[in-house]
Amino acid sequence: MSLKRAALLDCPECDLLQRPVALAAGQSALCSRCGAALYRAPQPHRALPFMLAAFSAFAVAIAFPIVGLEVQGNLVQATLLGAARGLYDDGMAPLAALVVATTLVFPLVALTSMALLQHPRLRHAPALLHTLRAAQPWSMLEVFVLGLLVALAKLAHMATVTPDIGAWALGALVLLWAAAYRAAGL
Amino acid sequence: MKARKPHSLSRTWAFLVAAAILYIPANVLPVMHTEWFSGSQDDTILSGVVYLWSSGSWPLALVVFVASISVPLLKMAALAFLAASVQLRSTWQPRQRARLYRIVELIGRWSMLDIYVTAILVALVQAKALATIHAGPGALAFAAVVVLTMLAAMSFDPRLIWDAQRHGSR
Repeated sequence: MSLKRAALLDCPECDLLQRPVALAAGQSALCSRCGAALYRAPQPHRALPFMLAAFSAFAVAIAFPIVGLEVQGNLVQATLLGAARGLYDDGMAPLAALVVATTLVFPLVALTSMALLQHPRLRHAPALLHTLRAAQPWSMLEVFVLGLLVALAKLAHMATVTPDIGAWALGALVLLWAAAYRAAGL
Repeated sequence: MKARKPHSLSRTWAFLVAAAILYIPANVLPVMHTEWFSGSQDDTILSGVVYLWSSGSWPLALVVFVASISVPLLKMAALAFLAASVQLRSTWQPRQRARLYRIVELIGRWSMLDIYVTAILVALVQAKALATIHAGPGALAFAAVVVLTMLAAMSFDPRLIWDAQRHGSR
């Protein structure tokens, strides 16, 4: 990551030392031996707007219900936290904790550290990069969106189910996240 | 250069063995228990796939089958293969093995799918909906398998693949 200072760059996956090359916007450099992604050309003017939009989408996804189910005039709605709550009330506390961690805590930690990395002074802060790399694999919002789709399909036969505002916000969040990640050159 | 991951191989094997053991209850025990006025039903991961298939949503049945059944199995097999090849100091196709590791890291997360489906169903289908859905013990075991295989993948240090190469060329 410290392109300007280091003359040589070591591949994170095979330790081969290589000389960094200049990249055009949107390009990425791969290790010449093992093919791992080394670095991408950032598009800094795009990264922060995408991240701020992602934060807003996240707020909506948390605050509003994700799905609604209607049976004989009764409407049941579930929020993101409500889904975890249901598991907790069901005596499945570890599962509830896993859902909260992977759809709320880790995504927020990753998004926050990604946004902080955009600050000129913190651009190469090792602690932030480390936090981002550690939180990234455990933030699974895109998997949750697919899970929502499957749940809707399973219920479609027994009741009227409709995705709610929170579901659209989640979908937007996943797309904005990917765009922000790309633009930040991570 | 970054420090190597400590005790990479023994940790990878430990997580893998634990995941393989829990894979059995994860598939045999019910992940979901449905109750309605006329009876109740227990669903395992496989019977959930069968239900989706027979109710006509075969694309989704395929997605769930891949995410919940193929991916954990292939992931455990791939990691065992990588760890064994490193242990035997194999110099065979390092670039392809490095690629395999990246694929394993990328696809592992999608196995959480079934946990999320269960969470949403449990929250949504309550007494008011004329039926109730509860999470079963299989869900706990399955979640443990996903977390353990992810930890196994994280403990594996892909640089070990290239170590044998370096010694071999000397």
